[in-house]
Amino acid sequence: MNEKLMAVALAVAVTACSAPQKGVLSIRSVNQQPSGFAQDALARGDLLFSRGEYALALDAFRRAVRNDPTDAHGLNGVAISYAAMGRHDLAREFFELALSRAPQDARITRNFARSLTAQGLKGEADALLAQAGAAPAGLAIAARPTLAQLASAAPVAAPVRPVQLTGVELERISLGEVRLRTMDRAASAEPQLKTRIVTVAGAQARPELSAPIVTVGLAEQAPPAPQLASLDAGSAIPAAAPLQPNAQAHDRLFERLWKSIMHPSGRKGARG
Amino acid sequence: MIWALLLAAATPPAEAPPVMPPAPQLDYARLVDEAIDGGRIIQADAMLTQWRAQSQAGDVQPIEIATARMALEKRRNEEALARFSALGQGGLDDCRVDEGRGIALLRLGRSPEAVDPLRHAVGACADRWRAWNALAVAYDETQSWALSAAAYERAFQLTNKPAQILNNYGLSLLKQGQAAKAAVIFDRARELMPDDARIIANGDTAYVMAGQEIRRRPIDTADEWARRLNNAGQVAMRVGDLPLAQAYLSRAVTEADSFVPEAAAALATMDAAKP
Repeated sequence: MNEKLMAVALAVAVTACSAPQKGVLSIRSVNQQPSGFAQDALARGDLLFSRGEYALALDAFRRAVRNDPTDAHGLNGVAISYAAMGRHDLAREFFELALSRAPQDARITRNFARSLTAQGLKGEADALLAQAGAAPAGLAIAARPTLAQLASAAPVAAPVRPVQLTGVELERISLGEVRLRTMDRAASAEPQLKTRIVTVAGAQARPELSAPIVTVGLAEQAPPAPQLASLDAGSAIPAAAPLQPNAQAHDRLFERLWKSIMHPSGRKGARG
Repeated sequence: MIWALLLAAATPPAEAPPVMPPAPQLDYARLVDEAIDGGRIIQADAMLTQWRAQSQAGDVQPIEIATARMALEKRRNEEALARFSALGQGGLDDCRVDEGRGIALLRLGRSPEAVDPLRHAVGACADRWRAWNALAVAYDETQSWALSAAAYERAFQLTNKPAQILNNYGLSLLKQGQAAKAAVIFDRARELMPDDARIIANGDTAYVMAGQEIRRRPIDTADEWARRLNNAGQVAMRVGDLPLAQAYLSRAVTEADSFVPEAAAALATMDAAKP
């Protein structure tokens, strides 16, 4: 009799636990959410992504992936959200995981190739598309010159820099100091060796002044700079700067200087 | 008991999982190989795990090859060498095994031993640019310049990563003392991979050795430029051009936003060495 009573009590208790009740907290593992939850998260992610709300889309896709780490749709969603936010480094991991789950999904391959192209990795993108059969392999390779031809070619031209920046240049040394860099045409081979320190006295303490107090030494001959060894006459040295920058150049320079004093935060990292 | 049975029958049964159609069998051997060749190590690793879980009788050796290649890609060179050697000793004749063994030997500093397996690899599979590239590097170590140039040429025409071959060929030219040619090659490599720190540093080295001035790029920050100046100064020191070294190192110290200890230490050493 006691056994029967115990069995009935146990059955009642089990039923009470298994049936959902209003007001009872139910805790489940994230991996055991009903499948509808993952589908909802994916649909929400797709919708948010199509609206351009990439951070929210990322959150939705991540929820879907947390629920099912093998779901290629969710992994691809996380990857494209990261890529849309410019985080191609993070996108790569999820593209690769998505491809591992659905290696024949041309959509993932194309997205990954776009991300690689956006990073400047065109060769890798082409190789990926070629592996997936989406692009013919070897087209770019066929037109490649030989190494010997490349090595004997003329040096690549130096990137052209504005003459004003090449000739005369201001650099902020500290809050109270800027460096005025000057160079002449003849000395263009050693363009950075003649430098001068220009001190702007108390400029930060007197922002109400209407014009900068700048003491610039006259362009007397700078101390002889160390000669660079055996400079190659045929090399791609940057374009020569004018011997003496004209007054207009100086005006522009001081205008820049004044702006930099009034708005010092904008100067950080803008040198050279 | 009857009560218990009735109550148990009253509870709703668990929802049966939907019947999924069987997934098509993937060609894991090809897919993992392609992922490794493409440098997609995360994908290759994940697929190798799936492959092991679904492996069949004939998959043992291909899985072992893929495992050895993964070890090589993860720079576990000793393990890779052991795995490739075991596969080779088992009588397996496969280009990937020879190539992997040669590259592992090369990375472990055993370049004379690497030449034979690499030559065997390119002899059997002439389209493998990694094997040609590794063979060229091995020839460089033995100063067989003509052979290395030919091997680099083959690798360059086959590869989808030309910047890597250009970088290695540039280093080969530097070793041969052809710094001006090397500078041109590094410029080409830098066009393809403008932000690769190794290519930039190697290019600057070639410029200094060729007696040319290094150039600041518009995107270089003050600290990046200072690092390049410091590198150029160190190179000038090694080639014995102390005035040039001093000029570069001084500029590295003065033009950086933050302190450059290497340049400062080198300058102090030069000052101390002065009579």
